[in-house]
Amino acid sequence: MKLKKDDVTQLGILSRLTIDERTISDVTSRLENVLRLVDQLQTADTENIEPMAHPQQDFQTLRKDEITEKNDQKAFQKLSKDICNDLYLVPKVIE
Amino acid sequence: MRWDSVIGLEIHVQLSTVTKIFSGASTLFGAKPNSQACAIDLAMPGTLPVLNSKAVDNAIMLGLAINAEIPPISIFERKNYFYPDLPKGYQTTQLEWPIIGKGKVPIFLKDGTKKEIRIHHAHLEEDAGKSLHSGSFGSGLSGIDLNRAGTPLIEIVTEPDLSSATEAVIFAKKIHSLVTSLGICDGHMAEGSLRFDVNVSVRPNGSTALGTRTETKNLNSFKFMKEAIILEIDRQIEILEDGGTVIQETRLYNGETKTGYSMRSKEEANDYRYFPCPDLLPVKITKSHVQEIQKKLPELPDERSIRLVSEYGIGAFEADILSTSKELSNYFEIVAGKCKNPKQAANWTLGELMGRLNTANLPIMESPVAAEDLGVLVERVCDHTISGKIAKQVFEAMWKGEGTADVIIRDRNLKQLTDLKTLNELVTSVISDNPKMVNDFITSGPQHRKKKLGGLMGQIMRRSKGQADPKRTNDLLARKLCELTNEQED
Repeated sequence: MKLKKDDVTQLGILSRLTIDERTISDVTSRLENVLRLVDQLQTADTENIEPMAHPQQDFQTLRKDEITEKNDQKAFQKLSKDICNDLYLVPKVIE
Repeated sequence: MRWDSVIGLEIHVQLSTVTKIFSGASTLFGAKPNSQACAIDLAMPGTLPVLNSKAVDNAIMLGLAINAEIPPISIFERKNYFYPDLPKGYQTTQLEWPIIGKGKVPIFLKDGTKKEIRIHHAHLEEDAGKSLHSGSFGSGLSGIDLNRAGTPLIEIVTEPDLSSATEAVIFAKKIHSLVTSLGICDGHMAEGSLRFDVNVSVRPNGSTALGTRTETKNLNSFKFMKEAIILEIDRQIEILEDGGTVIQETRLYNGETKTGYSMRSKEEANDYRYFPCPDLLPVKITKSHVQEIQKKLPELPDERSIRLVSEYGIGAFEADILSTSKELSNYFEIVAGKCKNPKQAANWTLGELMGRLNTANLPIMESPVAAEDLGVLVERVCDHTISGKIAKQVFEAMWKGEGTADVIIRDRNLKQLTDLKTLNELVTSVISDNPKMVNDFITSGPQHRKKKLGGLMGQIMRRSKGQADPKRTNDLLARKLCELTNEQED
């Protein structure tokens, strides 16, 4: 399946990624590779096969409504580049 | 041209579980930022969600309360979109197999008519974190607090069955009352425990085809919801009357500036690419589990409302408001029991008392006037000890903690004058002191006499410091004036 430039740009917007003129052809060909695999999967004959919601034929286990997690904020925030007043900082996303 | 408005609601109900929907982290409101976001909430690699049983039970309770279908199997899906307060890059929610199916919620309109609002479905999902766009971190940055990420929500989606802002508010209040009565949500709207998205469209009066709708998101008070709907209806009508077309879009409402505006197109361009979440297995709900929960359901607002109408003979509209919370209906029942006049008890509870509580922003449990005490005050109105007008003064004093009704009435000598002899003297003296007003009454046409009589009544009430029994005095005065008129005409 061939991807149009507009499709790739739109995907970039949806995933908040900058896909500029320099990278667009590379991204496009890699995405086309993924889609080729999907096409291959589509050729499988699924006639008379009942769809399933999950590969394990089982049901969800539930847990009790009890606190089991302790506050690991310090450890987690060490992984982040920018912290201010306990908040994770990110580039502003609203206009 | 006349227009009809068509309104549907999406209501996010934050469940009052102790922990998150998929993790054992606390959901307590107001904690230090990011102190309640665990590895699962932060979407750390290798973590897996495990569903909170209380969230499931809460959903079943709601389903039972809104007479909804509860399917045996429901499935969680991933709704993909990218936003910094959503660490996984997708929200775990439900789409095609929600936990609650079709249901209905009756509401009572002010004229007493009952209207049934259909529920399309209700589903379980997780809340996102919070983005703060201003702070000491400087411009160009947003601060992210993920404490709220993973808090369980039930989203209730209605059919477009509401036809005015007023109806939408009555319905929203009904849901508020339902979820708080069930104890599945604390109902604190200012803390975002209940949030509304409103879908609004308009169409020519009588038309059956739906117009293009817009969605105004994230309204967190009944007042803002009402304002936003009225504003949006007016905006759409204006566009259509000017020959334009309404664009389907997501909008926001600013309650402070009282303005609505469109969200940027980028925010809307989302294609959520839903698919069943491979991390969570289908949820099975057995009939016996539903029956177990059914047995434990508390008295619901509707049942309470029906009981109040049949036991006390009050109107359905009043009963419906009184039933919004157990505390409020209990209060009313104590007042009614004390004064033996349920209609007056309802009027006083919903009028004077609720008015003051709302102004002071106090819940009924913190009312400075106890139900027993209000009961005595209403009793004094019913037995004609004081007039309704004086009762309002007494209530005011009770509100300020200046004593009980009987003490205030006694100490301030507010007892109504009911003795016929005294009233007679009072009426006679006012008549003789105001010959001009009396003459005006006699010479005016019958249609003006009511107003003229009112003037003389005012004089009497002033002279008696408001204590003359209004009904008896009015009768006396009317009779006397009538006699004088007849004499004149003879």
